Amino acid sequence: MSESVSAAIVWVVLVALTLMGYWVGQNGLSGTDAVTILLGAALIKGQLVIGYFMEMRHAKTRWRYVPTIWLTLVLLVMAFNY
Amino acid sequence: MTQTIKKILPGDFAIWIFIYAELLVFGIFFISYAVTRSNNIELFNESQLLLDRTAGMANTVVLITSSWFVVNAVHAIKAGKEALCARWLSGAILLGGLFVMIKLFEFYSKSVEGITLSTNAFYMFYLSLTFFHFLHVILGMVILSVVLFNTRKGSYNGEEYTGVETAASYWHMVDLVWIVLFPLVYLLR
Repeated sequence: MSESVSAAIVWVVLVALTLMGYWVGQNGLSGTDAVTILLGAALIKGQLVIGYFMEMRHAKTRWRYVPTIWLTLVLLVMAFNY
Repeated sequence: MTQTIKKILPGDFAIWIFIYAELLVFGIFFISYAVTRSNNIELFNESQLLLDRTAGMANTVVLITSSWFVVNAVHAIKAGKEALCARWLSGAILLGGLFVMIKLFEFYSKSVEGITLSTNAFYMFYLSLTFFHFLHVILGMVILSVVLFNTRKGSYNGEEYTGVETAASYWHMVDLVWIVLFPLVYLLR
């Protein structure tokens, strides 16, 4: 699959997950299920941006893990506080 | 060492130092928000309900799409298509402008309602976090505009495109931060 096609698919997934999160918010959902969905969606979206948009999946250095570690830590702290 | 790393991360290595520092600052902001909220859950939940979630969602789609345009700009310049690269960059900058307009509308609405930084802890975080991110969008647009200007001037081609990648990396960081900020401030309760 070409890089441009992968990026287009990633864009569709990112928009779909955003709309899903918006639906959760508009319906006033809360509690463990809503938090899991929203944080899970943020993790997938963030990781897609890091891997496919920032092109970290092609980087050949341990510096590539910094954004992923950042994303995971921030979302974990949120999970513990909600 | 810098030379080696420069070849294996997209763009100039200096931008990555900047990006990592920015992520650290935003990370501290996000964690402070979550911890403060855990001591003021009712206040945060009530105040959050008054935010314009539709504007927040629209801005998320706008920024994600703008980021995707920048990805296409990088692919275009790598293929030696300077004019196509310039078109994608122009589209990304226009979408950045749309983000700014939607955000200004949100700030204006809150200001008309009499909401300021001192209204309560939630709004202190909402206004300062989103305004801090807003400034990064402006800076990103400036960087993209400089790269667009250079692309049109013929500074980049299929062999030399570090500048385009550098701007792209910064713009994706702005997108990444918003992807966490949107659910945190607008949706999570």
